[in-house]
Amino acid sequence: MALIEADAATASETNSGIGISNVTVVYGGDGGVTALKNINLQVKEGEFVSLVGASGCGKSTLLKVVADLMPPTGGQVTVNGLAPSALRKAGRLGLVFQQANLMPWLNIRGNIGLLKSLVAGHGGTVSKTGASVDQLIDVVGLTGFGEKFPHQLSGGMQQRAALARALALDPAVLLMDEPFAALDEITRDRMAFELMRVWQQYRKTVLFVTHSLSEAVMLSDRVVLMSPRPGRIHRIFDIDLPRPRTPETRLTEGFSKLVLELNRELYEVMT
Amino acid sequence: MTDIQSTDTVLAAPERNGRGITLRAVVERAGPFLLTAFLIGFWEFAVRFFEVPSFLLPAPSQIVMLMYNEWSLLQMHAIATITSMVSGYLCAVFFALTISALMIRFPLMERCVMPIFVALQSVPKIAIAPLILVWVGAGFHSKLLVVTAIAFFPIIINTMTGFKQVDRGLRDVFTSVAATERQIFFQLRLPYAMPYIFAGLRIATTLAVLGAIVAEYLAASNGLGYLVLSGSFNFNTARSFAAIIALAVIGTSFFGLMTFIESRLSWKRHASSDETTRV
Repeated sequence: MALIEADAATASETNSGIGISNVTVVYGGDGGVTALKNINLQVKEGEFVSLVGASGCGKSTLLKVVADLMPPTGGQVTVNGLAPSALRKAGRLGLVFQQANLMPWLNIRGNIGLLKSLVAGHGGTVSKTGASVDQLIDVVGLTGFGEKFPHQLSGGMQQRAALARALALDPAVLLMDEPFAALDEITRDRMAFELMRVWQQYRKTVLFVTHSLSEAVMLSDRVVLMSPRPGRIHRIFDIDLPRPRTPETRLTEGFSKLVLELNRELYEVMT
Repeated sequence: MTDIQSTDTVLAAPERNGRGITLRAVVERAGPFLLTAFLIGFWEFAVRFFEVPSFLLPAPSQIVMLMYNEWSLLQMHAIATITSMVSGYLCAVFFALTISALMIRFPLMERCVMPIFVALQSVPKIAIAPLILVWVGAGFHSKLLVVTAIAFFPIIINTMTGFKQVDRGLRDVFTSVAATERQIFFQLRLPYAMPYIFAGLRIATTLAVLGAIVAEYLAASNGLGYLVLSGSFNFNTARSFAAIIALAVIGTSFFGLMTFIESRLSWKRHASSDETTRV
């Protein structure tokens, strides 16, 4: 860990955040399906960037490449100047999936502390600057639920626990793959604001995959619209809506204009 | 989940106040006991009334008397059965868990060995018991081996099912921090498989009792199985009945003990949590 931090320190300023250069992913070897083609994207440290696009545009694939869950066929990814694999081994990648994926035999406290203890257990040094399990339970709004088991919690609360579990690692980046897609719309909406509140507090670099254009606009500094077959970046939208954003933000002209523009562009890509 | 439970109790509360429901609840609770008592009473009456010879069907009172008079004999044979049954069971548990752990660690071994276990699973192991006697000879060792052979299969099949069914999403969580194979085994696979393992362990208790009895039927000079057999040979049917009752008590206690251990060590699968993760 100390080594990694030293590396990160020597890495130049421009290397902080996520650097994706010329990333290509081909499924099934030569002549297979090209899921991603020559993706170039820089995400600044502390920036919130969403990936949107029709199904099959490769947004989840791109997230998996950054998460080191899938090797790119070509190109390179760096996070704070390091390879994703190094960060994964150091336990500094925070992942939140569509499913909460909590261990049903552990209570919420145990689930939130699980990854931290796994990292400590295989030789990684757990960062001491990160928040404690108790603090995180409060941060994500699960105060009083630490001793409960996952099945006793609603889907939204389970997803809060999953977010806390990722934050417990004090991650270099937070990678979220449609984290609210399995929730009902009202819960989903509330979770978006909760996430923003937590993000304001920790200022993690976030890469966020979603199907919902309004969710992407509400949360992000930039929205990356991808186009399918082969997956590539179509256009990047700067979301210059002032922060902190509230439910009222949705009523502003700027917000609806951006969503509309994204919508129009998305349909253009599809036809 | 909790919501459903609370509405249940709300619905049930006024019912309990009603008179007819109270009687019904009592009957539902005590029904099985009352029926058993009635059947035993009928048995006692019928044996006496029709003067059924005791070698054919002894009266319940005769069986109880015999159990009281021959308690030390029963105890001795019960201990012999329990010893071979428990040691065979523990052997089966040990081998089944170790071999499944090895098969998870070495997939090649799983591919070679597991199909054999699955095929053997459908062979009635009882049928092999006489061969075991030929190989090992009569006595404690053959009993132990028969029990082990018969209890082994449900444990290993269930354990492997649990190990292999680990949710993909939960695995990804472990992969996301580069968890070691060891961590994945002890902190993911093993706890995940607990309900499966205990399902196998519970089935195996019943089979272990069966295995011990069969081994004792075939060739043994002690044990409750032997007592059942010798009782029927000597037309001492009451003694056979006493041994069967002892076996039933042992089997039920063994099963109950396993259920108790499970409640302490394992977690339960909840339909509601499955739902929320599946959607």
